[in-house]
Parts: sequence; structure tokens; C-alpha cells
Amino acid sequence: MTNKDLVFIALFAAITAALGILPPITLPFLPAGVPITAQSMGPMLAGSILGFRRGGLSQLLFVILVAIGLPLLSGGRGGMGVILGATGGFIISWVFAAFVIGYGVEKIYHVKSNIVFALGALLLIILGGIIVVYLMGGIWLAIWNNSGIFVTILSLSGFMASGIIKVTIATIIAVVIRRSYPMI
Amino acid sequence: MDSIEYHLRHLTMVGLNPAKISLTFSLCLRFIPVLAMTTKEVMEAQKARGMHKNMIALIVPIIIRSLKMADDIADAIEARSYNP
Repeated sequence: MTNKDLVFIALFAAITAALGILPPITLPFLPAGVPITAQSMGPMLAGSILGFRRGGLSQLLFVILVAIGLPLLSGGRGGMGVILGATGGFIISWVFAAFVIGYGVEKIYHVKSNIVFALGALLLIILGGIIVVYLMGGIWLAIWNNSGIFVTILSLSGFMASGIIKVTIATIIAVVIRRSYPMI
Repeated sequence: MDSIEYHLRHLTMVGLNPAKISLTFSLCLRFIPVLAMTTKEVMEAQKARGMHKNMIALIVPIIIRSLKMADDIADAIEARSYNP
């Protein structure tokens, strides 16, 4: 890890924290007080802009900062209680999401065509930012609530609309940043 | 920074460098208010040009600006020959 890598890791952990300024939206018909936040765009951006090692480590840094008690999650939440609570699976899954997205994006980063890269990034962000996050978060939530895993994951489909918005925004940003500021 | 480094000193046994970890922690905490300031500046610049609120048009310049800033900071760290 060079000094440059360390600065970028710190920067994207800070960007994830900054996305938490937007307040969380808790909808009554969604399960167990899982809020809709802009912060789940953090791992999508970190993975797709920084790549495998730096992106994943930046999310790991963010999770550690939350775990030691800084109120960085949206709505000013934070601390070990949130990490181990009902919605903690989602937060921990961001690390794996960033690793998955970063691994894939590094493979397709040097294709010439922007459209090919955009499609690839879109699929990778859906795979990492939606499937990994909701699978891990859903299983954690199901264990926490003593309910069926399948039913819980099905009930998370209420987040589909916000997920589509986040994936679209993250993909557009990833493509624009790759064109204007190539990183990897 | 020194206290983080001190408390993480046993991580050298598993091959991690506590100085690097503490530098990253401190940088991250420092970046949060800087990002807030950048956001404010970009929003003001866009308001001056008569733009309405637009999430993508806001995030892209913020990220590009902060990536440039991160490059400069990395250079500044190198220039002071800090090599943990």
C-alpha cells in the first residue's frame, strides 16, 4: 500500500460517511425498521471507482469507524449496538459488496468502449450492491427475527425502487469518473 | 494518531503496519468536514449558474475535486518523506 492508496481509502470511507448526511427514510410496511439510506451507494462508488483492494478496504475502514462508536450512519446512528443489531448484516455486507464490485470492475476497466464498460459496471453493481447486500442483510435479519429466510428476503423487495435509483446513479458516476479521472 | 498507533502496536505480529492504519483513520476523520465544505462550494457554484438540485450533477464534481485533493495530499505526504 503506497501513501496514495491510503489517502484514497480514507477519502472513500469519508465519502460513504458524507452520504449519511441525507436522512434515512423508514417506511412502515418494510420489515423491522430497515431504513432506505443513500449510504448503500458508498460501496457501489468505492468498488467501481477504486477497484478491489482499495475499495474493499475503504468500506472496511468505514465499518470499523462505525463499530468504535462514531455516529457516521445516516440519522446519526453508530456504535457496536447497530453493527450487531437487526440491520447490522446490511452494514457488514457493504465490505463484501465493495470487494465484489471492485474485483469485477478491475477486470473490465481497460475496455475501450464506454457503453461496454457501462453495461458491465451496471451488472456488477447490481450483483454486489443489491444481491450481495440484500442476501447477507436478509439472512442476518431473518436470524435476528426468527423468521424464515426466504420470506424475509422476499419482503425486502420493497426496496426495489430505491435500489434501482441508487444503481443508476452509481453506474453513471462510475462511467463519468472513468472517462474524466482514470484511477486504476 | 499516536494513540491509535500505540494501541494497534501488536498488529505488527500479523503483518499489518499500525502507522499506516492510524494515518488512514486520521485522514478519514479529517476528510469529512472537507467534503462538507466542497459540497457547499459546488452547490453555490451551481446555484450561481442557475442550476436546480440534481444528485448526479452534484456528486460528480465533488468526487473529482476530492480525488484531485487526495492526489495532492498523497504528494504532500511523499514530499515530507513520510514513509511509515
